[in-house]
Formats: sequence, C-alpha cells, structure tokens
Amino acid sequence: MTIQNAHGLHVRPATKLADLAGKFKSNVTIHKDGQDVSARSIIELLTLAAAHGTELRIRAEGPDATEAVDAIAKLVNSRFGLE
Amino acid sequence: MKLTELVIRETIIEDIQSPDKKGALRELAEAIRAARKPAGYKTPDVLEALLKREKMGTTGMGGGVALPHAKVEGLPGLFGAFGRSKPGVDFGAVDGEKVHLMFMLVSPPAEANAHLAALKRLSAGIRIPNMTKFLKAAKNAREIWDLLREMDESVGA
Repeated sequence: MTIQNAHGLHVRPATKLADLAGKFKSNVTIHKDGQDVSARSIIELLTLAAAHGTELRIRAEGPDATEAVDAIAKLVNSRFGLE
Repeated sequence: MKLTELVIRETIIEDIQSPDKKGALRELAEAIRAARKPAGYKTPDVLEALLKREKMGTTGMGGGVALPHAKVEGLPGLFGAFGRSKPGVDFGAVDGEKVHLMFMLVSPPAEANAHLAALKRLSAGIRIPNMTKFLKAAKNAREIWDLLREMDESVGA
C-alpha cells in the first residue's frame, strides 16, 4: 500500500492506525525499506517517517489476520479519513 | 534536523508551572518566542493552533509523553521546545496517564517532510531504553539538554 495523504504518516494518522491495530487479536507489523515496526505503537510508526508516496507493507499473524490487514489497508487507502 | 537544533537550552522548561494543558502549551510556545524570536511569531496565535490540533485528537501518546505540535503560517523554519512537569499535566492521553514530558514542535505548513523527519528523530529518541526515565530524573535543563544530545547521537544522521 502507498501513503497517499499529502503530509505522510504524521501523528494523527499514526494514532488512528495504532488505535485500529489494537482492536485486533493478531500481531500486525508494518514494513518500510527493511524496517519493521509494531502497528500498535504510535512511537514506532513515527520512526518510519513515511512521507507521501511511501510504499508500506502490512503483515499480520493471528486469528483475525486477514480482517486486520483489510481494515488497515482500507484506512491507509482512505488517506486516514483526513483529506 | 537535530533535536538539539530544534530544542535549544533556552527552550527547555525543567519545571512546567501550569497544571493544565493550555497553560503548559502557553509556557512552551512563549519559550520559543522569547528564545528564538521567529519573524511574525505570536504566542497567542501559536497557542490557538496547538489547541486546535489537540481538539482533533490528543498528542499525549502514552507513557507520560506528549508531542504537541502545530503548523504555523509564515514561520521561517521549524522550532521546538521541551517541557517537563513533575506532577504531570492532564493531556487526555491515549492511555489516560498524566503527561510528564512534552516535546513541542511548530513548523511551517510547507515543511511536511521536515516535520516527519523531526517526528522520526523524537520518536526514535524516546524509544531508547530508559530515556524517558532519565528525562524525568534529570536535575536541570542542562542535564535534559545533554540527554537530547545523546538522543541525537544514538539516532544518527
């Protein structure tokens, strides 16, 4: 998935993403250029400094992995509902 | 941009006096004005922008840390301030805990990537084991500044 909102993955989208990831039982990680972070941690998501146009990959492991990946991809593709 | 360039000694407040969020943000916004005197910077306008941002969702991200920030039109660059409150400030943080460490960042609207880079440095620094504990325990602004320098060194360029 690609970060499409103009200001990238700043605090508000990171907070939304972490909040959503926390609702699933599965462990969700976000990957960018060889860096893996927990999707549940705002602080870790911010260390990605994912600007507009950045490619991210989601991986989820657990009982609701598919749902988690779908929901997170939807959030990212909706530009976090912020624009 | 290094944390020690964003936050200088004079924009570190070792003991925030206000018990509430608005007052704490005002102290930090005023510290930037007094120390950096950015062209066109007006503390009440910056405070209003910071509060507006808090209304969209708290910047208290848990673990006693908050990253209050705002985009300010016409600002000549990015500026930061650091505030510490021993009794803690109610930020409505995501974990419901009081905030003891506040990293404030104000940036011009066009600098989205510089803003992200600054957030990256801050968040990577905060993640260093025991860093928040050391920041809480630091004796004075000088020691806090030394810790910010350590965060810069650990995070790299």
